[in-house]
Amino acid sequence: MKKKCLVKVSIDKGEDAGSAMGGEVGESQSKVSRNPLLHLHGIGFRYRIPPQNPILFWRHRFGPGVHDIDLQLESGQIVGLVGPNGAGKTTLMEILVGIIPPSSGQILIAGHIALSAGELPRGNSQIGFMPEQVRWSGPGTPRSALTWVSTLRGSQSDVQKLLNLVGLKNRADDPLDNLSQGMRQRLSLACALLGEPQILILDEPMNGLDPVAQTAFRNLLHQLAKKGHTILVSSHMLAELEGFVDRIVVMHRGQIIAKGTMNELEESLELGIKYKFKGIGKLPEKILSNYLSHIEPQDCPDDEWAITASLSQPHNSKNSMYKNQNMLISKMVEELSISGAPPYLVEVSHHNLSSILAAATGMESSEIGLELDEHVMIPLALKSSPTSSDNGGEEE
Amino acid sequence: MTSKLSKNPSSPLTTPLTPPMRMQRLMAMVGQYLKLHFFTTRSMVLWPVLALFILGSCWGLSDPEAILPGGINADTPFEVLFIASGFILLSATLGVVLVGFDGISRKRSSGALAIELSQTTHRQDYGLALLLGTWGVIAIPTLLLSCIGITLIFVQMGLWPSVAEISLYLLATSLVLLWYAAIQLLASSWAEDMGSAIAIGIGTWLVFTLMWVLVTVVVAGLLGVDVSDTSNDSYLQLTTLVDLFSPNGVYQMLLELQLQGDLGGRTVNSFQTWIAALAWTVLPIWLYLRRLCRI
Repeated sequence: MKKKCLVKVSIDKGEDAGSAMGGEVGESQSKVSRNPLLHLHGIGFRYRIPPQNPILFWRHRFGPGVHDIDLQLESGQIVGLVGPNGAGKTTLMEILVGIIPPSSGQILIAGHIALSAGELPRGNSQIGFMPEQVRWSGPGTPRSALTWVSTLRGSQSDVQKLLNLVGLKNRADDPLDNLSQGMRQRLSLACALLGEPQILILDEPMNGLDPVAQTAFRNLLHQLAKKGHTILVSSHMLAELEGFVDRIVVMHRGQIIAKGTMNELEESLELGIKYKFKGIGKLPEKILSNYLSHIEPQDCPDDEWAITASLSQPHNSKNSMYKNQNMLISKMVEELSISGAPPYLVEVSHHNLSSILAAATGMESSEIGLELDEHVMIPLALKSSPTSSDNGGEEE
Repeated sequence: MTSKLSKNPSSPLTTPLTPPMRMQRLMAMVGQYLKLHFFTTRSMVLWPVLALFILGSCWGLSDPEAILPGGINADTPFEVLFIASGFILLSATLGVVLVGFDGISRKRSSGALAIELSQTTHRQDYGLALLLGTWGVIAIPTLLLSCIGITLIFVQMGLWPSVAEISLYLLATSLVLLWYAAIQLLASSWAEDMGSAIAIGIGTWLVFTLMWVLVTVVVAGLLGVDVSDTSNDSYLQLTTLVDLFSPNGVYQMLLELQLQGDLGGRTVNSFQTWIAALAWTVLPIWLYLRRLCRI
């Protein structure tokens, strides 16, 4: 008889939690196969906005939604879903988990059709969902709430083990109204883990979790991914997200506008390499602007200068002779030394997710999350875009 | 690509449940729901109210010394039950409203509905579980108290209602609570916030329980029926039609079918009444389940 992994630690302790999911993850699953587990093909949906005058109830109009989503998620991957507010992340997740019926396209799990356009939405035993900020309230306790959801799922999972896993062991019989937001998040996570789903869809899972729990949560996701689970995480905490996801999917105005690893996104968005320079003396703006673009001054002592910047593109006429970036930097360093502001640090620094998101959406970093134009969905995907070739986007 | 995909078989991961398995899961869900909601603060408040109204009315109305207003005289145990049904309409239906008005809207606004809808249970089964659970929270104590009330009537009058009368009374009471539960959950699924849920829930109860006489009078006035004397035949006949559109009216008409004397004061068409009862059972539940499937 095959021995199964037992619950070892809880999310409170933040170590090796993944092996404990439901206490029933068999050892055989630890071998990860990189096959498309989840395939979204041409998924579309638009919300119906009721008229302002309720008497004219039939005069609804179509609002935002998602458009022609094509996406494949492989086993053992952690994929981050990012985008500004109103981009359609939650809508896409709700379609995936069977809350919203897609108006077009199909969802395939392990090569089999799980849901097609026109069908009534339904949940799938292979998908676990953790929605954003569930405010658990009303009669009952975390234990009874989890038991209720377990009954709805038809799951035989050990509720007590899941409560232990998410760190609610000591609060299992407290009234739901007494739980903090972090505790409620843990309860939502426990619901997502019921029945050992192969695919986890997590919408803003870190909200309300304390730093220790966040670390434990990331460990849990890594453990699950190692065992072949596919995880799709949406989050506005971009710095947190880029640290533990394998791939990024960028959504904007209801469409996937870019996807890939961080490096792939940097390349496909032609962001170029970002450099960090530190030097002595006064900031030599004139010389730097000859070689660099997107110059951003950084904090430094008064008698020094520090910037982050990208090299000007090689096709720039001024620098067309410098095909090699190293040569360009050497030339710049030489010129700076002669001018009396020699750099003492030249460091390659990758773009963070925030700047990738800004580049992909065409918005300034400061604008991300503040876009109010949610009621218009404009098809953005262009065939000419290097990132849209595999997302099925078409110009309309 | 699409045609190739569409030839794939349905997912073996979502194997449909057989009817017995669905029924088993439905019963498990109803049991869980009752366990969660049966001993809540709301129930604790409602039980004494139900006991006061149901037991009090059965005991008081069956007292031979009791003199009822309006010359009403209850001579048989079933006539006592018929008059006591008015107290059911005031207390138990309000109980269903209080239990069900936020049955869906609160889950929706808290986000818990998203978790529940993303589970593998079919939406219709989930909806039925909520409906039967909401109904059970009030129906179980109401029916139990009604049985005790019948015993109290026997204590006072020395007579039992016939088995047919008891069956009809319990069936009609169960049905009216089911209709209210379906209406409340339907209203709750429409409500976007707690305020709307309360307004719709209490509003529908008020219309059917307290305002229906006004509706009847208005309809009668519009049709030219004399409303200055509500005991005239044409008005009473009109009420039998208008009451078909009210769950309370159909409930009382179901009970009137078994009345031997002239306590009801009007002739009730058995076929119309049972068809109305069927419609009140099917339509709100169908609308509610349809709404839940598209929520």
